[in-house]
Amino acid sequence: MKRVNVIQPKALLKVIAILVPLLLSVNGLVFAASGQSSDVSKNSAAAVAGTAVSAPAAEAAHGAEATEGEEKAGDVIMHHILDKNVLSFEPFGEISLPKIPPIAGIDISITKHVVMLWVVSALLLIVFSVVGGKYKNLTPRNAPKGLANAMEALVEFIRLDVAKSNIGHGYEKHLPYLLTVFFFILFCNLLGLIPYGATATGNVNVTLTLSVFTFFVTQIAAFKAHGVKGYLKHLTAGTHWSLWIIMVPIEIIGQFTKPFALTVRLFANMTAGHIIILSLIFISFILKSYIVAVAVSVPFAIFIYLLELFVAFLQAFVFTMLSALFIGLATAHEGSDEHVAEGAHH
Amino acid sequence: MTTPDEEKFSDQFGSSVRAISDYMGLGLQIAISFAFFVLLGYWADSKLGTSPLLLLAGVVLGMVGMALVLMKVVRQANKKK
Repeated sequence: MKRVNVIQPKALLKVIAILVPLLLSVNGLVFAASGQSSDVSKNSAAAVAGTAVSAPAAEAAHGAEATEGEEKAGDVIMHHILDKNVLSFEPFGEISLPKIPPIAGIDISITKHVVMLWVVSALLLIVFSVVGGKYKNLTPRNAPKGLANAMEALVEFIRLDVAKSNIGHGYEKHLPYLLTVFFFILFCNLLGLIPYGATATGNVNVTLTLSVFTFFVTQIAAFKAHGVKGYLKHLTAGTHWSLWIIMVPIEIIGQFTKPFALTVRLFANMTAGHIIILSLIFISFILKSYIVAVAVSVPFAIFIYLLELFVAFLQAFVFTMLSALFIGLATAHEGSDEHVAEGAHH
Repeated sequence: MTTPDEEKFSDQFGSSVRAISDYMGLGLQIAISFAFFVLLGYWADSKLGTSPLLLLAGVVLGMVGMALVLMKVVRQANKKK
């Protein structure tokens, strides 16, 4: 294989030769503008200095303006992160979603994130019916191409590296749940990164629902593997009967802490990335400088965006892997791995 | 198509993940179980009006519970060796 020199010094020099004067001229402009404004402010200060009372008033007004600007940035970020009742397509207008009157005190009106969940479900149905259709007329002589091939790689990854290695024997039974959860979270995460999209997994209700599913799957798998007696025995954790009054509540709490950690992990990761991107962009608006925008905001925002693309896959993988791990631990008997195979045979 | 090496890697990955899994939820479990007993004592105090007694009993129960959780983890780790 021939090595290709990726970094070409001449091309790099050309780019630098174009960029540096541009940046310097922008910088000059900014300095000129700030110089002018400072002149103006000096003049106005001189004019105002005669009246001693109005100077603090002007300062107060300036301070109020500054805090207003910061509040605005925070408001815009929260507006972006939180759930709301309209789908906004910024320059083209917005669609307000219907409000349903609360049933039994629970507000079930349709929000932006609910619409995103529907979109993700529809996308999953479309993608996987297309892929499944391609596999139907596939002979052993030809391999899948394009979308089907890409999905096959992901499905095989979940099957072998997540389900088989964590659950062990009898993993096929739990594979549909794990694959569904993986692709659902992945599509939710990726939809949050395209324009006009929203991250449904950045809503704590969605992640809580997903981990409640994992909780029930885990508990049912544990019941099936151990039976009621074994399940109750597991709750005492092998301690003396006089300590059961302390140990049983702790073990029951332990069953709930795992899904809770899953909830918070996914929610916090998806929300934090979006807040970081928006904050980086707003730095340039708060400081009102082109040089900050070019040198800090845009490059760092692009970097975090690429990181978010990675995190979208990573968090879907982590959620799936931990679900598989909890199922594996629930079905495994106390102690070593040899018992896993036996447990599956029972 | 997986080569034997890859198969081995995924097995190793699974076993190592399983090995750390005992310690993953440990911090949260200890913290929440301690808080559970203390808050239970506090709540019972406010209901019965026996002000510091049940709270202190809750603290003692919570500490015993923490020790029990640690003992359980250590016993499991010993059994595996």
